Amino acid sequence: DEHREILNRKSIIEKRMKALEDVEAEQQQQEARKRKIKQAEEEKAEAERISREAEERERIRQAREQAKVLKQSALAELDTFIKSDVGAKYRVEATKEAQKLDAEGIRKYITDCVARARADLDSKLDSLEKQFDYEERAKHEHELPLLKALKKA
Amino acid sequence: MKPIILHGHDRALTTIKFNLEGDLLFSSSKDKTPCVWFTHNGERLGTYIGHGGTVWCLDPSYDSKQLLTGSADNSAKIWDLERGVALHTFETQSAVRTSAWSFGAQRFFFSTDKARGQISELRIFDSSAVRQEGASARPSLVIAAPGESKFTSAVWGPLDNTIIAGCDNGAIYSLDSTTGRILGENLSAHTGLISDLQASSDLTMFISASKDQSSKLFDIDSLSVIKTYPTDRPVNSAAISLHKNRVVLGGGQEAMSVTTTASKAGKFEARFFDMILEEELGRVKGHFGPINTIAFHPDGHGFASGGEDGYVRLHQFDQSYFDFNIPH
Amino acid sequence: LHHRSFRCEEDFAMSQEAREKPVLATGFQSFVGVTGLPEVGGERVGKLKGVLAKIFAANWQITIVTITVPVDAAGNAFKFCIVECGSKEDAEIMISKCQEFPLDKSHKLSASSLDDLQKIITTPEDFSPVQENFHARETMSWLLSDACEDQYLSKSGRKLSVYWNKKKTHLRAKESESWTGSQYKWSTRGSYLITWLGEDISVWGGAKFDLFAKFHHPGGIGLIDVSPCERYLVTWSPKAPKGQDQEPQDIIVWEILTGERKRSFPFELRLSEANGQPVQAWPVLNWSFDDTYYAFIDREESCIRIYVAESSALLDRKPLKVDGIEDFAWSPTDNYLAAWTPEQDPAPARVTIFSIPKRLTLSVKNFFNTGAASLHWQSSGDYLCAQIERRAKNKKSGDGAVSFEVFSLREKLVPCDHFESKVPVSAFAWEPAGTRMAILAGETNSLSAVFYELKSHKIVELRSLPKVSANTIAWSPRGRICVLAGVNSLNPNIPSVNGAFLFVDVGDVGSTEAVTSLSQATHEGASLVQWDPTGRYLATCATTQHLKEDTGLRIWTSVGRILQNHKISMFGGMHWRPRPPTLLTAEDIKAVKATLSSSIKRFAAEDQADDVSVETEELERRRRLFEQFEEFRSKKLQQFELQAEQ
Repeated sequence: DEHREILNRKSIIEKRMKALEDVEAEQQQQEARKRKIKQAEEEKAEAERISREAEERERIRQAREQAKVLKQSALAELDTFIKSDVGAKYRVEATKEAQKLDAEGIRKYITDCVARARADLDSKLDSLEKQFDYEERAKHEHELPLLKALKKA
Repeated sequence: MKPIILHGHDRALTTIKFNLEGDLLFSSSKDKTPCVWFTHNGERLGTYIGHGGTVWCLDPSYDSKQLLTGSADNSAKIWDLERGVALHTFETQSAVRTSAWSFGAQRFFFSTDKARGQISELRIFDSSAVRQEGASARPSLVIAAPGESKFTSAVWGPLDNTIIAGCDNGAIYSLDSTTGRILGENLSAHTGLISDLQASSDLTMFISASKDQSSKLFDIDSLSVIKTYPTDRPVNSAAISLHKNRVVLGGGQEAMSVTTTASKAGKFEARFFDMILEEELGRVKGHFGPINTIAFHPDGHGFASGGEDGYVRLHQFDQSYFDFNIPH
Repeated sequence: LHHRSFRCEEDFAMSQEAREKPVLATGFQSFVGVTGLPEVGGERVGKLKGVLAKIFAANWQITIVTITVPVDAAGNAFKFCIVECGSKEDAEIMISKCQEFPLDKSHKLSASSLDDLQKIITTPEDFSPVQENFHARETMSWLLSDACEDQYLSKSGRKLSVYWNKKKTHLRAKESESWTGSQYKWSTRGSYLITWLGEDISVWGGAKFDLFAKFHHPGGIGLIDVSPCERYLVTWSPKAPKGQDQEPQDIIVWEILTGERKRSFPFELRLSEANGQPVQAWPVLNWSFDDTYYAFIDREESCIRIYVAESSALLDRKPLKVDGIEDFAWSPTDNYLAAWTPEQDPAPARVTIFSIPKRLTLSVKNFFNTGAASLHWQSSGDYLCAQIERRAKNKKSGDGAVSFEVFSLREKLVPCDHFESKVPVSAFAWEPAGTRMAILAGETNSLSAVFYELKSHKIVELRSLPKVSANTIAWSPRGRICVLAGVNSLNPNIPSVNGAFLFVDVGDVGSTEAVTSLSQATHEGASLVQWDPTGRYLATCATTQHLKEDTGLRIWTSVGRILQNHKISMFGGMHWRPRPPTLLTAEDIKAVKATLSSSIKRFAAEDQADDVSVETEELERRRRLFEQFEEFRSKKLQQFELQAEQ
């Protein structure tokens, strides 16, 4: 009986061990599967990250490129501006400013300059107009007594 | 705002008129077929087919039920305005130049041209008689143009008591609409043919357009000149808007007679004046030929012009039109 | 190049010679006419003769040969006698002394030469001495405007009007139907307005533009010219009647104040072979700056005929010989004369500057490989610029290159510097009284305006403005501002540009400011551009010559801002009234400029007051119009309601 019991127990133990092993194997398998999935996920994420980063880099590159093109065209505008009559006196200042500014900034700078130049020109026209008028009137005032004397004679 | 351009006529416009509500615009041209348009979108509502020559004039009745037209085919017609069918045709011996319904459409008149032994006449009809007898109804009154002249444009005076008629010699008469007597005259109103007369909406004044390159505002009773709007080209049509006390003049010289290279094509403007100060306020360009006929929208918010170029231009005024005032 | 053509016939030259020594044509120099004699008859005539002879001889120590007293059929003497003196000198003494000489209590004798008597007799009864008191007439009131305003003449249809320019508006000073005439002109210094129609020229002046004088040129007047100091008037008649013995009267020189006809010349208009149009550049007679001389080219004789205006005589009785002369021009400030002789192989082309009357050569310069040329004096006479077409040797026409030779008259030995344009030049103009010049160079579609300056005898290019649409250079009379104008032209050779005006600032004198464009103005169809005499306003005109409608006048400030826009139907153009040279010296002007700051506030205040008053007047006028109109309307509406009730 005892032997049977021992045998039984042995087989039970074996079974249990087998079951245990099976469970373990199962667990291991599952873990392996999980790991595999996780790894795949991780790989995917990494790939995604890389491509995202590449895209970002490309985007930045393109933006930079575009900004460069934009700045180029803005600089061209600036160039025509400083070569124009009104813009001539901003040449030195403009060249300095242009290095610091982006396209939009340059455009704004030109618009500001044009507005400033227009105001300057307007005040120049004002002052010239007045200067000529006042000078002629002052001359006339001094000439009047001479003319009147001549008329009497 | 961009004007709506009405394509529908293939020849020069002769008359355009809004109905009383201003939702419809009527146009006649040298192409025989008057048209009616929706003013809000410029869509053509219909045509009036039946005349055999240039249609010189037209007038919708106050209730927008009937349309009166006069043509160079020696006839005047009354149309069912909605259905576009001619109700009556009045045969004449010469072209019909100008026509109009009285205020309540109880009466109407049309004028006939001086031609081939025909003198120019103004024929006045009672609408009730025409309803009964049709086109065979006799005019209630026939007024011959004074002297050798020809009636070129005419409008009803206040209370339909008078008809104000302008002639080819520049004279303007006030005629009693029941007796035909000349109640008033201004023989030196203009030195050239009077191409258009339009009354103000309150019937206190009327404006003239003349080939003598000016347009004048008259007292509708005394026929005395109140204001003068000089230009440097023949005026074909003029209109009054009491809304902002403005007048608009349309005209121009034929392109052929413009010798200069300086004047650009399309330089045929509608000219706006301050009615009271007689000062020009602005011009609206667009037509490629002289403006033959011009009218304010009844609500004063827009105007329409018809040109020798065959187009009708329907304008809505910008806010600036209402905002702008000569300081006083 | 200006072509001048004169027809100088042999016999004409002869008669000129005869004119140099003025002699009385009658040959009666020793005869004197005496008026104021008592009325006597019969025997007493003889007695009177005796008394007269004794008195005359005794009083003035002269020899009396005979005394003739004409008598009528009844033997009664006229109140007049003719005295033959012993000599011409005696006659002259008698004429000078015997004026209002009392013979007795009631008779005073006056002697005059027979020629003068002849004039008196032939003067028609209805002679109206318009010229009388002309000297005393006031001709300068318009210059006395307190506000320093200028006048201009404007033609609308057949009507001429003179306006005061009031900056933002204008005021009619005078309008006259009686001025109607197809032609009009201000005299050089603005003293007179001259109008002409048919054979008659009228001279108007004074505050009210009264008729001062009339001139009559048989055959009808074609063109007129007034000498620089306004002493003389030159008229040309294209249809002057020609008689065999009659002196030529195609061109007549008049003295304005006396009405005297100084001299006349034959003249034949040269017509262009191409289009039959006159190629004549008016004026034909060219005046020296001070009215002392006038001159014209005699091509056949290769000379310039210079006349002394006062005596109407040929200067030193001989013309100024200049071989092959083509053109000449007087200095505007000195009696210097610059002459151009084109190249005639092997002789080079030549610019010669003479001083008159001594005929000294101040400068002469030769040029090779040249074509046509024109001479431009700077307005203060300091410089002369000869604009000369360059062409390759043995070639008939050039490639358009032009050289500009600038002579400095005030320098020792008259140095000359030059600049060139490789492309054709359509206009040249000196800055008035300045050292700067502007040219329009290039083909029509790529025209540039180039500015040069003479800096210490050397010419430097200041700036080239590309792509201008202009055909005319209009410098402000003050200098500094230059308007490049594209105006309609009657000359088919000048491409028409449609009324564009570019205002350019060349900077103050002596400054290093760059040449800059100030503003652009447009006046569609404009054909005339005119600075006022002070350089404060620019007028542009679109006239009936080019336009049928939209004719009118616009007035701009000196820097191109619009001030006035007048629509004028049948507008024939406007002309500013010229001003005489200022009475201020250069020092005066300097002083005025130096003390200008003290007046600025006052001027500004005046301007503001003007603006306000104009504005309030205008507002008041409008308010009245509105009131009147409202009154009319409300009355009408009341009336209307009354009628409706009935």
